[in-house]
Amino acid sequence: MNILEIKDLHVSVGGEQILKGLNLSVEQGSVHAIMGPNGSGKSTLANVLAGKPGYVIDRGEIHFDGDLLNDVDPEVRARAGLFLAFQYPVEIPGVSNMEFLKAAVDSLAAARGGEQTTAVEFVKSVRKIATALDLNPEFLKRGVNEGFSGGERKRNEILQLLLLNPRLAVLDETDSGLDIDAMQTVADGINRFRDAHNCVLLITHYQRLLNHVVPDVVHVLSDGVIVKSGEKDLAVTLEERGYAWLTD
Amino acid sequence: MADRLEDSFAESLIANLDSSSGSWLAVEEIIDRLKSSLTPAATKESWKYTPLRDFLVGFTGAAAVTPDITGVNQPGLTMSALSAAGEYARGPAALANTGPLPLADAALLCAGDAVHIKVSGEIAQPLEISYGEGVQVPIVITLEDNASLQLIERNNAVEFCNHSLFVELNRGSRLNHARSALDSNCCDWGLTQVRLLETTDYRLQQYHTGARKRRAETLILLDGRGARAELTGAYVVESNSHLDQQFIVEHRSPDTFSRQTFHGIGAGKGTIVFNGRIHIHPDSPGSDASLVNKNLALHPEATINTKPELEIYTDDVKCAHGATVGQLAEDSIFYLRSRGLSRDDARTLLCRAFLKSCIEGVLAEEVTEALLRNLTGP
Repeated sequence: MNILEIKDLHVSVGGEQILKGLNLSVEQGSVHAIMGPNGSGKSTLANVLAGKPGYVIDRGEIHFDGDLLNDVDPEVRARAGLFLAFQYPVEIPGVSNMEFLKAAVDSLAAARGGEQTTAVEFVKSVRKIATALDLNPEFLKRGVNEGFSGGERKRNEILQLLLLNPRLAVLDETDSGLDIDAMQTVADGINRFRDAHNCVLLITHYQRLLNHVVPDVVHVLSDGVIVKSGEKDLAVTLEERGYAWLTD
Repeated sequence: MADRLEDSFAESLIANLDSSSGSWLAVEEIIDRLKSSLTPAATKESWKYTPLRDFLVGFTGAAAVTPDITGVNQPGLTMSALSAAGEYARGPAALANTGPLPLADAALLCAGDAVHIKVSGEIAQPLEISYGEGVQVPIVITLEDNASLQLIERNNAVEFCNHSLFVELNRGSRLNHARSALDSNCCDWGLTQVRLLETTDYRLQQYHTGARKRRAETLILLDGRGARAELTGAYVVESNSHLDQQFIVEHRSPDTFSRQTFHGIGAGKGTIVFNGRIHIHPDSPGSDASLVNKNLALHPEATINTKPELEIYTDDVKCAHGATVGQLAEDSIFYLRSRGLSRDDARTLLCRAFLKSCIEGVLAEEVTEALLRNLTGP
């Protein structure tokens, strides 16, 4: 069963066409990696999936759990179980992490018709995840990503992934800017998330992360279309040979 | 035609005046001052965005009303009538040269005496002043040496209000002053003049919404070595509302300190005016002053006029000022929406954070919700 189904997707940003007929199916229980050179459209794919304003779908369809997603608001996508781990998580001074995470958890719970967690339960579960991700629980009192290092921001994204427990996790270059230890921590988080009921779309430049999070399928995105798909070994080949041979 | 109201105001006010109490001696002087100062004041730049005459129309000649004052029956507080209140309004306001004086003078004429509250020692409970409809009897508060007080001021009028407050802090005294004006229909004008002598400490937290017309003038006179004033506040202005805040800080002694930090939101098609002036006089070395005014324009037709002013006549001072007008960051809104928050909830969360950094003190809780309610208005 496919959680995500993308058909003939054409997307432009600021009048410039970036995705030019992308097709992709991600089935439940799988991890798909998207690799590709700079400017190939990887982040555009992540942003258009999350519904970022300014990303215009000119043609094609995105289906999420069978529902057409093209014109759905970002918050509705999130409530349906789509999660984007940002490449550059923004800093929001004055809004504490605690306030932000509770608001997110509550809005998802409300959409799913579930009960809101109590403050105590909530803090317990956040602290547990934070400790596993090597984030000092004191961070809850600070503003969202305020004064966070690049590594802390990425770990905060993974914390949200584990807390919100979506159906589909789109990770946009979550490995960029991480040192070796942080990469291992982040990879552990992703592995902890993945199970038979969800799926992961892992966007990355490098094969390194894929040593820790082993994908089921690797796709190569080039000039707005997927030019090759294969098993995990494809990532190793790309690391050795680069991308040029695929488009020559 | 435009200036006729100012020209004839003093005469018509005197002709209509009900008040017979005018027991203070300076009536003639105040009448003369009003006659000569009103028209020149109305044409000053500080009145560019808010016509002074809007605040004259509520003067019917009826006697001024004494505001509700609670907490005055405490050890260390005494209240009496003060016939020489005009003295308090004279020197410093003239010095500031911005023209708040005539509106305070007009109130003094309607009031006869002012209310004088003397403060000695440390006062346990807050002193609360609530203004009602009409011209309010001016209030003079004198803090004696080393006294300390929490003052809360609320404007409860919904039609017209004119109020003025003159405070004197004597050596070593401290005043924490929180005030709010949250009615959106009122036409009100208020003057606060605070004179600080040596090693005194004054803190103001001011929370205002816009109104039909609202203008708050605050004049701080740092008149003794080591005097400190910290002014902070937050405001939200909805559609068809107008809020004009004028701050003047006069550093007139060495080693004086002032901070002004104000955040405001233009939430509708209304008008915000913010004028913050820092004036460092000669022979005031070691003065340390700063002014920060940040504004968010949530509505495309919000009008925001903010102007910091700096005038320095002494070397060896520290001064900083900045005024900004911006919008909510779309990236932040998208980030919050991507986690399931609606666009409105995301906006509210960001606005709350923006205002919250300027909300503190005893009124914090009651004003935060009141200000945010104005964001989503009808």
